[in-house]
Amino acid sequence: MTLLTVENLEAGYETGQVLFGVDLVVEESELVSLLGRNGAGKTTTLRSVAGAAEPTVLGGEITFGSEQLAGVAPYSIAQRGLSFVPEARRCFPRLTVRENIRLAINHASDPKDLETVLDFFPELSEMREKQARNMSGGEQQMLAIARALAANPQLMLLDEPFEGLAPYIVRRIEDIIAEINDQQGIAVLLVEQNVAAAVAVADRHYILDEGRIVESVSTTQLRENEEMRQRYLGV
Amino acid sequence: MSGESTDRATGGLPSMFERYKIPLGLVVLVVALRPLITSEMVLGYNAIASKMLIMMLFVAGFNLLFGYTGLLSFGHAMFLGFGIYIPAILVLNGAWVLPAGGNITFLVGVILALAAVAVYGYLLGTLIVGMGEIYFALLTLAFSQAIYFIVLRNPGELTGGSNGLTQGTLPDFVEQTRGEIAIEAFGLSLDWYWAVAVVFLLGMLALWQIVRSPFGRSLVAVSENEQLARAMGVDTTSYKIWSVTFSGVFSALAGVLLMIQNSGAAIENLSVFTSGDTVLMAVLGGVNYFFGPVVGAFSWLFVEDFLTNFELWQFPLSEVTFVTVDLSDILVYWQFLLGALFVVVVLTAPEEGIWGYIRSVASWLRKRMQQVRA
Repeated sequence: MTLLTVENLEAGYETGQVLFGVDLVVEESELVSLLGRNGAGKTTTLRSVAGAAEPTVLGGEITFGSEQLAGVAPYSIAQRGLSFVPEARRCFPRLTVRENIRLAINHASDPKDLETVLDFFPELSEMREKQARNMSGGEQQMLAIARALAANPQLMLLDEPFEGLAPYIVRRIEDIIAEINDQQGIAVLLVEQNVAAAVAVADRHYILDEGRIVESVSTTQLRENEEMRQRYLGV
Repeated sequence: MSGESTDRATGGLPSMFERYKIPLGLVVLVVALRPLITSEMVLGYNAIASKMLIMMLFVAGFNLLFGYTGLLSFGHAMFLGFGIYIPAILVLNGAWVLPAGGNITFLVGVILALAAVAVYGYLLGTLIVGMGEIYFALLTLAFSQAIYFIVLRNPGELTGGSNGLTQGTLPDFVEQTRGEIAIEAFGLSLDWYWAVAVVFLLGMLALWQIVRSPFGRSLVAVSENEQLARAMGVDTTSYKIWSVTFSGVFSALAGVLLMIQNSGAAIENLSVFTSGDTVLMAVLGGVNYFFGPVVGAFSWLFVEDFLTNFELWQFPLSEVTFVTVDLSDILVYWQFLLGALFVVVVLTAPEEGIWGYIRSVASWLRKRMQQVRA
């Protein structure tokens, strides 16, 4: 069943339009990546779906389940089962691990309980009273994903989850994302610059270029088509 | 939330201490403050101790909005004013079936003041929290000034205008003898300081409960990253409105105490200077901490009173003096000295304040102790 449908999405900032008609689909329990060069509009697409204050959606339709998301307040979008993990400043620095997760639990319509979430992240379980500001980048990313998982969403939106992390932590986060998708059946749409990591986890890939989706490919197709990778991703 | 208590690691006295260190700290503060502050060597008079507690409660109420929610109110004096003026006006004039001067009239006045400030805070919040941080500060200032000028106008001869209300604003259970206030009720006489202490403790404990509750944790989330909070399902606008409301109620509660403390209502308490001092006290103490406003209000009032009363520095003690220095020429500029302290604190650690310093020194000492032992 189709979970998320984005049709002809146009969006931009005060400085100008970024998206010129993006179309994409995420099926239930699917793990999809959105790839593209810097400035192609990946983050803009994700933020439009999450209903963030910026960018401004100029046209098109975003359908989640059977509901239209245009004009719905972002907190209400989150309560409908869509968890967004932004790129920077992912955690609340003064709140502890436990409080960060509990915040998501308290504001979700059908949350998981704290222990279930922490069982999934043994690293975090050991530092539950630690404030997020005293944690490493990798730990914070883990906490952000744990918090998104706590809301028990149908779809998780991850903006550059591997950015700025050491290679071994990238692998750990890859495993976590794959597990969340496999075991919990939560669909994931992730935006990534790190093509290798995206290829390692996602089943299907959209390639975004200059505000439009230019390709929709499987992992094998992307691996085999070097010309495509060169042209749109520079790798 | 039901899981809140089971989340914590349980066991042993140290963890109990860790968990209740704020209530314990408040009790220690209340018990120790007066003997320390009013001894001959320090400030030497009684009224300052109760005034300190009242201002601590007021600034803590303000900090619920500023430190915990990230909204800077530049007109917090208006909330204080509700607590000062409404009970005073009611006791002085009586109302409907209530006689003037009665205890019941006063209690009704207090309840009315808190209810009125809650409604006012909620409506004001609804109107202005969505405007952005700068406009929030400016609009609270504007509303506060509007209230100031209405009170100054003395509508219906109720507020006393620039003279304030100085006679007949106290209920019967407040006894005044030679400047000392006592509460007489049920055949018992309670010193004013302890009466304030009880209200202070109840107020601060309520604030502590709010701050550590899921509601309070959501406020911290709103102040730290509003967009992220929204993306997680927090209705940030509604949380901000409730924060204004609660902050107003706690501030008005402090106002009620201040009215009795000053035996009346003074218009200065509604002025922009009161609002400004509130912000400065909170920042001086450290807005990130529960005890920040307490430390800020204490330091501010201590410096103000100490420096204005302190003229001769006798070393080491006034009984055995080796050196005497006349400081009065310097100390007339006490506000400058206080300002300088404020600038130092803000430049070196804006959100940490004096309490942040104390905490980091304490944790450094603890680490050193551990190293020495090991």
